[in-house]
Parts: sequence; structure tokens; C-alpha cells
Amino acid sequence: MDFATFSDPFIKVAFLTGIAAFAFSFLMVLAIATLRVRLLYRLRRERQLIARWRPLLARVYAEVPATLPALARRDRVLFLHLWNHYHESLRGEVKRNLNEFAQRVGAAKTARRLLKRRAMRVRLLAATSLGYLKDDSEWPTLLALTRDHNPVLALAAARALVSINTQAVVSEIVLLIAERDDWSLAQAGKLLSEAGRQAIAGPLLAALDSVPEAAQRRLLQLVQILGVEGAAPVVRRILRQSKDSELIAAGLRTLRSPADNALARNFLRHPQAFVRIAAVQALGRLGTEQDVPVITELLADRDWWVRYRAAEALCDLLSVEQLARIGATLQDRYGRDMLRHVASERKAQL
Amino acid sequence: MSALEWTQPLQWLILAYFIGINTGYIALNLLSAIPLSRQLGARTAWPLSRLYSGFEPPVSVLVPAYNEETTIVASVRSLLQLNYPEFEVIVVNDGSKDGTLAALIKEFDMVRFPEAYRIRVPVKPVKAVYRSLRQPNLRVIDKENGGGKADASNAAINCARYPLICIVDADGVLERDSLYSAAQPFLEDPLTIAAGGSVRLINGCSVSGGFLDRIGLPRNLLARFQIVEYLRGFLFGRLGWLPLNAVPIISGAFGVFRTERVIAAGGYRTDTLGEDMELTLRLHRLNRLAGRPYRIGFVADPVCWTDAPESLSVLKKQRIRWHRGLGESLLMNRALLFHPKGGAPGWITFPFMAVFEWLGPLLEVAGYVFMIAAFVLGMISAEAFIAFLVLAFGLGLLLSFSALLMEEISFHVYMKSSELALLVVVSILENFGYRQLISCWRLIGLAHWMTGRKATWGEMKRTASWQRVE
Repeated sequence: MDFATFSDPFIKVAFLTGIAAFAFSFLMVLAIATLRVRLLYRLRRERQLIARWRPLLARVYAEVPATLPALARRDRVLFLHLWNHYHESLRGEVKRNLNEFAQRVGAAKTARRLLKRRAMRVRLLAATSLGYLKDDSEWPTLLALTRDHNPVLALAAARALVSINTQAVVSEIVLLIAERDDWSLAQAGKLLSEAGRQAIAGPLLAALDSVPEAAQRRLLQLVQILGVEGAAPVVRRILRQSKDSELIAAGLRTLRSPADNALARNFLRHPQAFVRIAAVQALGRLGTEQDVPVITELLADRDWWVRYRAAEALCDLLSVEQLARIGATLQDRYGRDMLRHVASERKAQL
Repeated sequence: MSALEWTQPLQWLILAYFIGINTGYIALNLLSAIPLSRQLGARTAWPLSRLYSGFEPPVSVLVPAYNEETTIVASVRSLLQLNYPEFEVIVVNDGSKDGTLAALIKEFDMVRFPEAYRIRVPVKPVKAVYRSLRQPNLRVIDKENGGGKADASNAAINCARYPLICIVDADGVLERDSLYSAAQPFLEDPLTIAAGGSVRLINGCSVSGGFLDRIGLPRNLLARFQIVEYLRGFLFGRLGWLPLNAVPIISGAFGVFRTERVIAAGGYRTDTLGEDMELTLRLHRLNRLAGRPYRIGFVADPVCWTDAPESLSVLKKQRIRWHRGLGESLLMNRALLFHPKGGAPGWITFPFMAVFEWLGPLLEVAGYVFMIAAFVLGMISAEAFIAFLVLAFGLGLLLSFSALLMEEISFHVYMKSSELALLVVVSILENFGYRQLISCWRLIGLAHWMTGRKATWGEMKRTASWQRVE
């Protein structure tokens, strides 16, 4: 009988692959152990750093301490994390003291240096820190980073720039938000809300007027959530001209004036349910008793959500007695059920 | 012809299988580094501003419950305390034989409500809808039993108000920020239609007030093995597919979906034991084949902690059921396989799952049996046998350690060094018996499916020892 030996290619391949796997496994255990040792060391250093710097940082509520200890080179990144944590937590004038604190211990210099590193997490920390510091010495680098393929890094750079000099950059950032659909709209909205409604309103409305429809959808969502006023003329034009259902729905959600009721009514029979929903919600917000008949018709809509929103709109516009009268006259069972459902919901909320 | 020549094709097949599956896993390992690094980066960038930005879409949290009298009140109470701007909780009492409904009615002041219930996904009859007088965002659906968790989930989907639904297990423990974490893929990419998160094992941990209080390792060896398994399964088994937009499964223990897309797909199927995987694959199939752009996301953060079986009999039932579910899910979505429009899910994930996950146990068990038999019968030399063992265990170790390494790089939830050391030992030990046993059970699952044996969920007795501390 023939036996396979280590000289056979089959055995050789299997054996060598297995040995390589064992070797890699051993290396991984070493890596795990090293990482754990580093983690424990880092946690210990963090505890020491916090114990040393937290009492000093806590004093910035009143003033920056007259004398500050030297910040050890190895503690600079950790200190920046702690300092950023304070910046995220505090509001108002105290932030100025925090910045003076960072300048005096050399943390600002560290942030500028870290921005040139390759590691993304380090660059994120640096960009965020420079934003808080309102340090414009790395403006071109931050501006270039807003074009980075990594949306997280690009957004962090944008946030820093807006924090450093809102006026100088907000128009550009708004266009980037419109253009880059890989940017989280939530984070983009947060960034703009930090800049302040007044500062963003002009550039946002100007961009809304000039960008393509896909970008207009994103910007209209921001207009709605951030409560930016003055978009009505552009929105009216969109609602009169656009064929893009999502854009129309986004526009309807921003309507704030009873003068636009007629516009909203135009979309109550739109083929897309989400447009009808946005239209009936707009009438619920802005409508009058005159709108009740058209809204009541929607209680018989084929789409559950349209019926639901129509019932909600009626609840917003009418008294309990008026609702009961409408309910008694309704022929459509689904409409009656829905009105009863929403009325019970409102009652439960009270 | 010699014995060696007779068996050589089989030897090559087994070798090819072992190298193929492990190469695949190593590739997933490497791929998972991309999203992991990005997700960790985002956490660094916005450590505090993670909290509500005002754009999070409202979520309907759906909780199918069957005979959960002892745990349901605590579970619902903890769900109501989740950190998220706007959400509702819909519990489905799936015809429980115990006092599940009564417990809910009593604890939360539930009253019957004239819900305009619409049947968008067909379900067993709904008897009543209740609404809490204390918690405006809590509703309970009382329905007839039948159709399992899938039917109960569908009943809740019909009632869901919000654009996102989150399906959770009634006995799972969620992280306070779990909804926030799972909503991130939807915020970051509007094309996202589903997203899952890492599920971890709660055995050995303690829970207080419905939330995790202390993380620890269980005493039970089976549960310890499963901890390493879950690390492998979630850290690279799911995350690795993310860059290819080919995540094959969103766990039934915790998954967030775009409501309308699930309804358009027909909801959960009630004729499979793997309804979670089936739905995920169906979403891939329907969207790919229709040429609709979409994304299925996954967040590495631990979002949900679940109880692992601590006895062999329960674990066996679970794995047989899972494997049947896998086979059914693949078969029900076979149109995706090598479809010209199938993309990565059709050309990479599906074949990988079919060959290495579904049929894998056949080759794996055959490999072990053949090698041992051939060695005992003198058909292969000691060198060949040793080479096989070195290969099988070496690659097994490599994968377990790589999952541990990723965990240590990212979340390091087991903070005691002694626990980490124990996990290293467990990773070694699981290669000597546990993995082979799991393969045998999966093979039984395959056999059950092939012979058309009636599929049931069965009673899943779990210890839920973590609850005792409450």
C-alpha cells in the first residue's frame, strides 16, 4: 500500500499552510497581549492625566489658573481628548478660557502638528480641536480636507472651518453639503445649526436657488429642520414648476404661510402618496375651516397614511363636536375608522 | 490502483474546502477592517455630539412575545427607557398560553383601542389592539397564535407608524444607545433599507433596571465557546460583507428596517425557520433584480445582548434550526444566485454561503471521518494525518484569534485581563470537539431539510441567569 509522505505535494501544501496558520495565530496572540498591555497602560495614563488636569480644567469656569504645569509630550494627544470633551460639554464664555488654557500648555501646537499625520483618527482629533480653538493657521489644509474622500474627516474639517470663520466659508460649505450626498445630513445639519440660523440663511437660500433639483432636496430638508425662514419664494417656484415628487414633498413640508394653502391644495390628488401626505399635513398646519371638505375627501384615500394624516389635519382644525358630526355623515368605512382612531389617540394624549 | 490514488480526489476536495473557507474568512477579516476603522473614527470625531441632532427618523420598536410572562414587563420597561428622540414600542402577544397579556395590561394600564388596523402584510387574525394610558408610545397587539415569530412580527409591522421598524427579541437586553447606533446607517446614506448591529451574549453578565450593569464571562463552557463564535460571526462574519453591500443576514434579535421596503417585499415569511436571513436575502434579491439602488448596513457596536443556550440539547436544537433556516433562505432566494444583476450578493455572498456555510458541514464532517478512518485503516500515512490536523486546527485558531484581535482593537468589552486570557484559552479549546460537534449538528440540520422533516421552533429553554440579579 502506498503512503503519502511529507514529500507529496498534497501533504506538503496542507502541512505548510497549517504551520503558517499556527505561526500567524501565535503572532495574533502576541498582538492581543500587546494591545491589552498598551490599553492598560493607556488607561492608567488617562487616569493619571485626568487626576492631574481635571481640577485645573474645572477652574476655567472662573479663570485660567495663573500657573500651569508643563504638559508632557507623551500626554499631549490624551490631553487633547480631555480638552475636547470639555469643549463639547461647556457653553458660553468658558470656552474662551478653555482655548487660552490650550494655548498656554502648547496643545494648539500639538493639534496643528497632528493634522499632518496620516492616521485618520488623529487627524479627526486635530481638525476638531483646531475648530474649537478657532485657529486659522491651518485654514488651507482644513479647506483641502473638506474634499477628502472620507466623509467623516471631510465633515470634521468643514465643522472646524465654520467654527473658525463662519462668514468666510459658510457659502462654500452649503454648496458642499448640497453636492456631497455621502455627507450625513444629520451631521451637516448640526454643523449649520452651530453656525447659527442668521449666518446660514442667506447662503442656504442662495444655494437653494442655484443648485440642481437633487441637491435642492437635501437643502430643503435642512431649511425645514433648521427652521430657516425666507425660502417661500423659491419653494413656491419649485411647487409651480418641478415635476420631481420628492422635491415637491420636501417643499410642501417647508410651507409656513396660510397664503400658500392654495398651492398645497394642488397636490392633494398627486399620484404619489407621500406628496399627498405632505400636502394634507401642510393644510393641517396652515389650513382653515374652508379646507375641511377637501381634507375630508382624503379620509377615503387608498393609502392608510394619507387617511391618517387627513384625520390628524381635521383634528387640528375642528372641535370634537364638529369631528363627531363629520364622522356621522361619512359613508366610507375606512374613513370613519380612521377618524375614530385618531380621535381616540388625541383623547389618550390629553 | 493503490488506496492513496483511490482517495486522492477526496483528499484534494477536503483540502480545497478547508483552504477555500478559511481564505474566504480571512478575506472577510481584512474587508471588515475598512468599515470598522471608519465607524471607530466617527466615534472619535463626535464623542458627545452623537446625541440627538434632530434628524433621526422615528422608529417603531416591534417586540414579538410568546409566553414571556416573567420577563415581558422588565423588557418593555427597559425598551421605554431607550435613548432616542422619537420611538414607539409595539408588543405582539402571539397567543401566549401564560399571563403575558395580563401582565402588560396590569403594569402599563393598557386599554382596548379602536385601531384602524390595516392588513398590509397578511397575518393571523388580530383579536384586539391595546394602548397604554401611562405610556403614550406603547401599544400591544393581541393576536391568535400561529406562524411563529414571523407572523407576530408581521402583525406589528401592520401597526407600525414610523418610517423605521426595529425588530427585537422579547428576552434580549438592548444597549441604551442601540437605536441611535442602528439609525446611523440610515442617516449617513438615504439609500439604506436595513441595518443590523453586533449581538453579544449576556451569559455571565448582570442586568440592572433592564440594562447591562456588569459585563463578564459565564462559568458555563458551552456559553464561553459561543462568545468566541459570536465575536467571529458579528465582527467579521457580517462587517466583512459591508464594503461589498452584501451583508447576508440582519439578526432577528435586533434589526432595523425601512418599514415601506419591508412591506413592499411582503414582510417576513412564515414558512421558514430562518425568517431573519430569508428577509435579508429577499431584500437583496428584489432590489438587485429590479435594479433599485439600496444599501444594507451594519454597525459593529454591540447593540443587543442575548441569552445563549447552556445545555447541549438546547444548543443542538438551536443549531439544527439555524441550519435548516439557512438552507430554506438560500433556496427561497435562489434566483439571486449568479443572476446577471445579482452583484456581490448574487456572485459572491450567495455561492459562499451555499458552498461553505450550507453544504460545508457535509465536507467538514466527511473530512474528519475520512481522515480518521483512512488513518486507522492504514490508507494514509501518519504524516498525512498530522498535516490534516495541523491545517484544520491551525486555520481554526487563526480565525478565532483574529476575531479576538478585532475585539481588542475596537470595543474590548471584556476589560479584565484574566477574562481576555480565558477567551484565548477558550479559542484554543473550541477547536477540540466543540466545532466538530457544531458541524455534526449542522449536518443533521441539512439532513432534516433534505428529508423534508417537519420544521418546528420547539421549546428553547434558556437559563436567563442574568435576570436573577434584578
